[in-house]
Amino acid sequence: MLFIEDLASLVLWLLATVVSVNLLFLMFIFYRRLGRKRYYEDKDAARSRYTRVISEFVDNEINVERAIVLLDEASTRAEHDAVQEMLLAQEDANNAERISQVFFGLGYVERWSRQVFGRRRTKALIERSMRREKASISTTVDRGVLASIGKIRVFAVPRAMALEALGRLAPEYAQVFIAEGLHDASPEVRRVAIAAMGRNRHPAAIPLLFEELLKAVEMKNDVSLRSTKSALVCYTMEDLGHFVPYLSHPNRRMRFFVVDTVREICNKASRNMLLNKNDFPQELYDAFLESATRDEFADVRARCGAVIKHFRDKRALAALRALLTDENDFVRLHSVRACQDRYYAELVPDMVRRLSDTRWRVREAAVKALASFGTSGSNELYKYFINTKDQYVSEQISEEIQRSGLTADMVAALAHGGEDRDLAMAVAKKLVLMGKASLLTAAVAGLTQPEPRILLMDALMLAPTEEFLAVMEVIANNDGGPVGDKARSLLQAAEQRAVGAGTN
Amino acid sequence: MHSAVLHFFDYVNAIILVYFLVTNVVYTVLMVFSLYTVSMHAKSAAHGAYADLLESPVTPPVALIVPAHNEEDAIVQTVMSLLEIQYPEKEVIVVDDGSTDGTVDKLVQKFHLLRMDLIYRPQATCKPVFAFYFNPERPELILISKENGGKADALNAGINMARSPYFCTVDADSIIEPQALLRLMAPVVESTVNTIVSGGVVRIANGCTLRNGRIVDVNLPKTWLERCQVVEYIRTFLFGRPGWNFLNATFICSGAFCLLHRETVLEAGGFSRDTVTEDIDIIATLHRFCKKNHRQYRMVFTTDPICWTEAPHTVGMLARQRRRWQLGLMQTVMKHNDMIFSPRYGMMGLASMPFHAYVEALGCVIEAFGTILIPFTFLVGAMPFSLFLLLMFLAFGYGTLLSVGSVLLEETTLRRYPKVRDVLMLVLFAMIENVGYRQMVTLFRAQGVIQYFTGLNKWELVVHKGFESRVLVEDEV
Repeated sequence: MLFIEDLASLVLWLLATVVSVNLLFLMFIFYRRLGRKRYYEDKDAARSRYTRVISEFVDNEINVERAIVLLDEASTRAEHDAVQEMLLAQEDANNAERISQVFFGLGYVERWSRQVFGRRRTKALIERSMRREKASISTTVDRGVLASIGKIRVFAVPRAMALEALGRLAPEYAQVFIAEGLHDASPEVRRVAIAAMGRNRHPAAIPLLFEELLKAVEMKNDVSLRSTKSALVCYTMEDLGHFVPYLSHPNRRMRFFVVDTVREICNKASRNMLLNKNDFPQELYDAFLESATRDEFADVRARCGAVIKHFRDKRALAALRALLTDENDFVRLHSVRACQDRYYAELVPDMVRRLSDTRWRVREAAVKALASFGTSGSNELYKYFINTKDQYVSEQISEEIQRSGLTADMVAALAHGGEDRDLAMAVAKKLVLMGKASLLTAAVAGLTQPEPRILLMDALMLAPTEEFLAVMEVIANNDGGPVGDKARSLLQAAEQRAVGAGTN
Repeated sequence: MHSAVLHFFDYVNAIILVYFLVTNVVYTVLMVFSLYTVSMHAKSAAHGAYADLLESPVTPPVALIVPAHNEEDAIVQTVMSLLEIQYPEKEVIVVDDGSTDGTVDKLVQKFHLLRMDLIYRPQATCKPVFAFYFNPERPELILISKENGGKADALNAGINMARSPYFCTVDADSIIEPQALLRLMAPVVESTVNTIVSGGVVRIANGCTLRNGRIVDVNLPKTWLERCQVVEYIRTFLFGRPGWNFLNATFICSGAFCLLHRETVLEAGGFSRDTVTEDIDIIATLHRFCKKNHRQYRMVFTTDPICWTEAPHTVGMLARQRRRWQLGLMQTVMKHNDMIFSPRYGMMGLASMPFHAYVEALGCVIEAFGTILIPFTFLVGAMPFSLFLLLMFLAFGYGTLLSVGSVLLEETTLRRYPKVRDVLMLVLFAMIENVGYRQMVTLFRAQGVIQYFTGLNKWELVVHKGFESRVLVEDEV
């Protein structure tokens, strides 16, 4: 009985607890909603209050000292956040230094630094940062009990957020902080430091990033290789001179990642401008043509073609030609891909030879490369397609013809006549015999010009599909012109053939 | 005789009590872990450099595979949302799994696709493929038309066609938030070991307004059934899965939105067609494959990549869906039963598999039995009032606490419901879904278990309303 009474009171207590906790949850939701509402109202008010000051400061109408005095009125978290966001939104290469000085003056930098490095280290770090001291090349990670505690996310996340803010300072100021952040025990904080280094593109950070990359390559880093490589890829063509010493690194995987990073930087730059050898430092140009192309590690040779193609000169052409016949198929594959550039039209015969490569991936790449060369490349491709007995290559070429929209060019050639028409017709016939008739059938149904339609109908009749015969029925019933006549005669021939086959 | 019956009731009630106690203790532990991981992730996501990821050439390409069977009402919106996703390099592969409606025609018309005869290498086994549709001006989209073979079969066809190192499974009735794929990929890029699975959160789109394949106005659905499902989804995705992920014992990643490493999946044999929930099965299969081959791997679950999907709007459809899920769960735990309590699989074998087998898969039978037996034994006087209250508390009160807690977590981290009215409604439904809705779902789940033991292993089709009724403006592509 006593047990039951205890149980009853326990249940009541539990119920009361649940109801209270639910009510607390509800109150917390309202509290958060109200808090957020107030925060955003304060932030909006701060935005409108400081817009003028910040635009005057950005336009150089007021100096740093005056801006600090005016912006120092911001006291709440919402106001601080508003000022920080507005200043960072206006930041560019010209005013980054002045904006950073404002952050120093307002005490924001000190606050962020305390959060990441603690009160004791902050003073020295700020002094070093103000002196624009160059960061030392050390990426040793802090160890010990305190460091282990610091790895726990609940402590690491606020540090990472504060370091993120420090990383947004002008590169010469930020460098000290983010280099120091590389010693942090938490990979989350170090990842932020590495990303900030990439964003700031400070040349002094390149050795640090390569140190991190080496650790990642040797599997001694808890920050991923991709994160470090992403930071290195942020650098620009102007910084490539700093990469040269690492091209002869004793670790072959390290050499590969350096070459690959240079490749990514070049590809990024080439989206906005056509590169040539003058855009590269002479040492890098020489290193690629003389060392990388002969590297003992095939992956390095494979990736270097994608950089060399941007040199666009005779030496580059010779180097690519040599790489196209490399003993390693992976090198040949990437070299074929690198040659997809009309500057290297001279290499078309070399690429045609790659259509009969022993490795299917190389053949596939050669097909794509040739298709990208315009009429000269596609005509070579067609000629090879018509003559080859290799089913695999034929499949690859037919795939490329369909996917890259070359069928439209073929149909145009059928209309124009001459040598191109004969070539296009031969290609169409081979496609049909391979069972790749869908696109041509659609062309017959959709075209308006009679001549190419009739020619395509002849080609498709070599191996008529059900879809094609259905299209012919429609044309035969609706078209009173030469195309309709042709459809009717072909259908009749098909019927006779079917009857003949049935009799036999 | 009378005393024997009473003893039997006592015995059964004790089992039910222990079941509820164990379940609630595990849920409490998961809740604590989830609170920690979800709130930490929400904080760190605030400084997450997704723009860097978007611009970085190092970000791996992804194939978005959309299996579709009779999805003419939703497919165009889904594909539009996928094409609009912010991601550096992606391919969208729609696999029409033998639809008998206008799924293929709608896609062909909308995206001006042309039928082509493309190269297809069947590495993962699946039913024959009929046709490929492609538009050279929109090279990121491919439509595959194949013989009906089920979702796993369609996914295998998509994997065969994909060229990217990662693929993401997406349901045909789902809308993915523009940054969701980047957020799903972020832990993969940041990982030092091969991340083979990255799962995200699924939310219910019923009641929301769409424009050009995007959710533009988030609202709660109108009916009680859909609202209860909203709360249920929030609880599952914010309290259950992050907790298991914290323990490195991910058991489920929703197939509606899940990123997988293509090569590992192919090596493991692709999606299996012997269960009706291929998304649960593939996770266990991958765990097994990687452990067996001594591979270093990781599976992650993140709470901010969000995919919006349609929930069943009638009790009948909900019943079909839950029976299928339960049947699939049963099939998976029985298929991989040697992993249960096996130390070789770490926390997966020692905690996650046993919990999912005994509590999630079989526990619903005890729960359903208890739902009927407890009031009965109380009414016939075979159970003291206090014990009855305790069981009721464990069944309803604690559930309320978990549901309201998950709404609170949603409100403090993701905040996808901006209107105060919606949040209050969510709190209200978090309390009332424990009475009625939960018991109803338990009964459906118990039916699923019975289906398994009676050999009725069929896929029950769930028909959705489709997105078209909720589309504001549909721009020309």
